[in-house]
Amino acid sequence: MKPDELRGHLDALILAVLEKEALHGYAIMEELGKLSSGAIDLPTGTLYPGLRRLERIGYLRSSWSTVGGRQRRTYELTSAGRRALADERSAWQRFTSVIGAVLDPSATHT
Amino acid sequence: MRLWFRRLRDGEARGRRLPVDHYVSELERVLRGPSRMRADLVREVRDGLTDMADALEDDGLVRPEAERAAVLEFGTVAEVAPGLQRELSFAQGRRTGWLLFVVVALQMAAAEIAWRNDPLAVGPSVRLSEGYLCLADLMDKSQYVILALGLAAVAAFGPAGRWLPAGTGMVRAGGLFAIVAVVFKSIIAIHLVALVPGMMAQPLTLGGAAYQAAVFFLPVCFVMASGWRCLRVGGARLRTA
Repeated sequence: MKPDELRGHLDALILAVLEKEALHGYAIMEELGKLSSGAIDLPTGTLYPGLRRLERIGYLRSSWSTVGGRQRRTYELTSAGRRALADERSAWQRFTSVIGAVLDPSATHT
Repeated sequence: MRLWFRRLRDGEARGRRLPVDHYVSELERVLRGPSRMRADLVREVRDGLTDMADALEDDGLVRPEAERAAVLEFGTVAEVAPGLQRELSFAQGRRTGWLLFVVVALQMAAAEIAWRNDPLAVGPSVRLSEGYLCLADLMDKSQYVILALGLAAVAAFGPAGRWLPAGTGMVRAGGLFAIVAVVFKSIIAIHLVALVPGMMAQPLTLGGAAYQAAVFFLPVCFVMASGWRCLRVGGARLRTA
């Protein structure tokens, strides 16, 4: 998937990746690739403005910590970020069920 | 030490810069904004690139090739810098909002103390005109508006962004407002002092001048400088190579 296809969903993807544990930028991108089986193909650099924006609006908090013997800025979800992720999940489920019903009507009757 | 040997081997020590260093320097050159945050962003980008290059090197590439591939995968400076610049602009907007709020609150408190204790202003024989009282009232109200808008800027360029998406044009507008607000407030303040009968005949002591500089003149300069930076970073056109 290319950046244009992911537009509007990157925030939710970042929040979902950070749901389990605090990670630094490169580890977040690796995890995104792993979870999507390599289908998400973003320029890594586009992740950093997204992380800073989510931190600015209070969905993430960050701190410098030692990872593998090196100092790395790691990000973790705040409680507002967890609520936002839950909202994103519900919105996504509604969206896919509505669009799925239209694109593949037979699936809803089986 | 290992890194130093690697770089020596790869030619950096002979004057050639490796791709990550070159990329980070270029990014640092084009970004504008609060220096601490800018340094922090650049350091984070360098770390991300280094992690990528290390992973590629572990996969078998030699260091310069690994760094070149990492830089390619990262995205060009022209692709990455605008998003980072946007965050730096908002940081400058927040900073200016805080500064405006703190400076105006401090000056309001200082003016209130002076007003209540200066015999020329509150003595029994003092007769202030209707126009003077109107000007004082305008000053009070405008200061409350400035305080409210300073806090609104802090919120808009910070957590309120989740409900009200802000643009960099708003950072420019905020900077312009900060400059106009402190100039307007200073002009009224000078008039309020000068129009008190006998006030201008008072000798200016060294201590009084230092107090005026510390509480009124310098803070106004700081706000104007921060507002000016908002105008610059909010409208920054990134000149990438």
